[in-house]
Amino acid sequence: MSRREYRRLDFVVAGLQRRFGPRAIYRYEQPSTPTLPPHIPTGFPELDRALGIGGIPQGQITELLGPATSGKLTLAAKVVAQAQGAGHQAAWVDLGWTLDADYLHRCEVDLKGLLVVRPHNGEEALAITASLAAGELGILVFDEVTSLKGQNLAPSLLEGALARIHHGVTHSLRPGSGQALCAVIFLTTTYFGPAGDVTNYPPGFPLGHYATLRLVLEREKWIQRYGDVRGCWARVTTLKSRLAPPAGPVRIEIAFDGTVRGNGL
Amino acid sequence: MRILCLVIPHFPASIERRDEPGLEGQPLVIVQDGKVMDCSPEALDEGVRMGMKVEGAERVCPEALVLAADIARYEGAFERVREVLAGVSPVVEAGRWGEAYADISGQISHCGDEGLLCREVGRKLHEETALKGMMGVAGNKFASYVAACTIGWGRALLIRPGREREFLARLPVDLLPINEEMREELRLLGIRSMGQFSQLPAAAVLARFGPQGRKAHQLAQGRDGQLLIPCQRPQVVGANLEFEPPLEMDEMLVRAVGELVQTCCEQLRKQGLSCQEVHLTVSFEDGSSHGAQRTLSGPTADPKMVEASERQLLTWLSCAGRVTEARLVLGRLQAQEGKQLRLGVISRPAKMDLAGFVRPLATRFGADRFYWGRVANSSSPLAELRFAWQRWVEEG
Repeated sequence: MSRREYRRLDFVVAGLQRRFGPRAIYRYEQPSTPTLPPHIPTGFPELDRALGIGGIPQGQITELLGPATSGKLTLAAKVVAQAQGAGHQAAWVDLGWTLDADYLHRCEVDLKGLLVVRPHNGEEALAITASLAAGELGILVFDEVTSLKGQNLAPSLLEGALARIHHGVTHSLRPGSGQALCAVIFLTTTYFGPAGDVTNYPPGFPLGHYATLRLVLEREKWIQRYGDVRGCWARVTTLKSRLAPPAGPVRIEIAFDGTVRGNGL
Repeated sequence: MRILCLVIPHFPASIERRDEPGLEGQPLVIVQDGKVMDCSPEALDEGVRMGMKVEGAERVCPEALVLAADIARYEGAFERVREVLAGVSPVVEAGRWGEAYADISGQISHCGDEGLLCREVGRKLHEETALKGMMGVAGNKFASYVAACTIGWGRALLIRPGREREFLARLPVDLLPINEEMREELRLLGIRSMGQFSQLPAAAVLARFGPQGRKAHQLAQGRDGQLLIPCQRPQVVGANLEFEPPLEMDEMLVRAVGELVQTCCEQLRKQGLSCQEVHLTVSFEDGSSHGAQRTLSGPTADPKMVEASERQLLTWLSCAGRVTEARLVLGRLQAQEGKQLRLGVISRPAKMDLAGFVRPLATRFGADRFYWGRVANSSSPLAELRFAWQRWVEEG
């Protein structure tokens, strides 16, 4: 490009930024040393490696899908425990009012530092989630999406709420460092069709579009010793990832002997 | 720039012979995954080649002794070789096994001259690893490598600055990093030495042999722009405590390990580093030891955050008995980011703790939406009675 064309391009870019704001358009510069996006380790080293960035991304929406007892809640609880260990504040939106405090404690979650939200309906749940996601939380778990079905929420309301949550998460910046703060995890139990099927969501809920990372969990088998169930093997497959090339399925071991431990931890 | 290249040919076979002197003179073949990984010069003369299948090697050299590769041992031995070179230069690049480069520009003022330096390196190498190598010193990597390869065992060849082309001129083109096809073409063209090759026009070489030929042409002329890439060793900071008498897994142990955290964080602070991994290893009275590791979400040098992680690690480690030793290692060190002081006074909102953040939400949605868990009856056999939910913000 000639110098005249560069000047004209700069003029157009300046006009766009004046009209729509400085973040509307900017130049991409390859960093001299590639840096990983901010993330929270899951507590399972093999899964961290497979995710490509070392854990669940902060400042993004993650979705954990799977049938009942596949390990979604355990994985989310482990991530919350890791986040609390790193000094972040955590919140759990319990739409179904089914959260088991004892199990969370056994997953090494610090209950005193965990804000548990028990909304009365889905609309309230989404509004509180949008407010919390834009705050100074480190991690927020929405448990769970399937509870929104049957509440007859208008598709426009659902989409608007999800858009607000996404905006709050991606635009929440830690003062001074410019680092994204909140990792939002949605738990989705799949009852109908394969994981990712739209029939598992309330009509008009585009979580698959807004989620940066979507993981499918399937319990492979129980681990039994002397007739007691001591844990289970779960397979985690990356359904979608915008941050790294999806790796193959990863097998994680969830042990129940008093404390739920990750592999090698 | 002056580069010293240390070459120990057939490194795995040399290690085997060093550890088992009876193997001296006998053809050796080191195999991995059914293929020849390395062999001794005697086996090479018999026709054994790298990458050959074991059966093929046994066929061409039936009297060769076949050994399984011990990668950990070779890595450990090569690490010691690297340390010897690191003693003479801070910039050391380790290539394949048995090949290492050190930038000795500026080191001569300490050692007198390059010959003395090479003698010193050879002496230390023999003292610390019982190995002998070949050394070459030149102005670039390729010339120093060729100089090392052409001199004999335990000797060094020094090429004067600016004489690299002259030295390479009489050497065969086979030493250039070219493929078989190009080698054959050069042979058909009657080009035997690097001197003949370097005299060809560069444009013609590029047109005939492509980028590979151009690179080889530059090397033959004594021009090698490759810089040394120093190997980075993972930095860790650690400390350990021994307990006499052994401690139970209780508050006293937690406090003692807390002191370890303070010591390690002090070391980090002095070096201006932050860590992102916390490893805790605990040894018990019965001789067993357990370890746990946590990766933090971001680099930190804050003792409180490290201590919080270390307390969690302690609760994870199973209490098999009394503790005799605890070791804390902080890994994935990196430099702390420098913080520039702001020049102007900028008013920032005070940081709200979670309770302060929840209060406006409780006002908007109702105080009965927000809870936190507390222990109700930890010994209850029913899980649902062990914990209770308490409102985060009371109404009124």
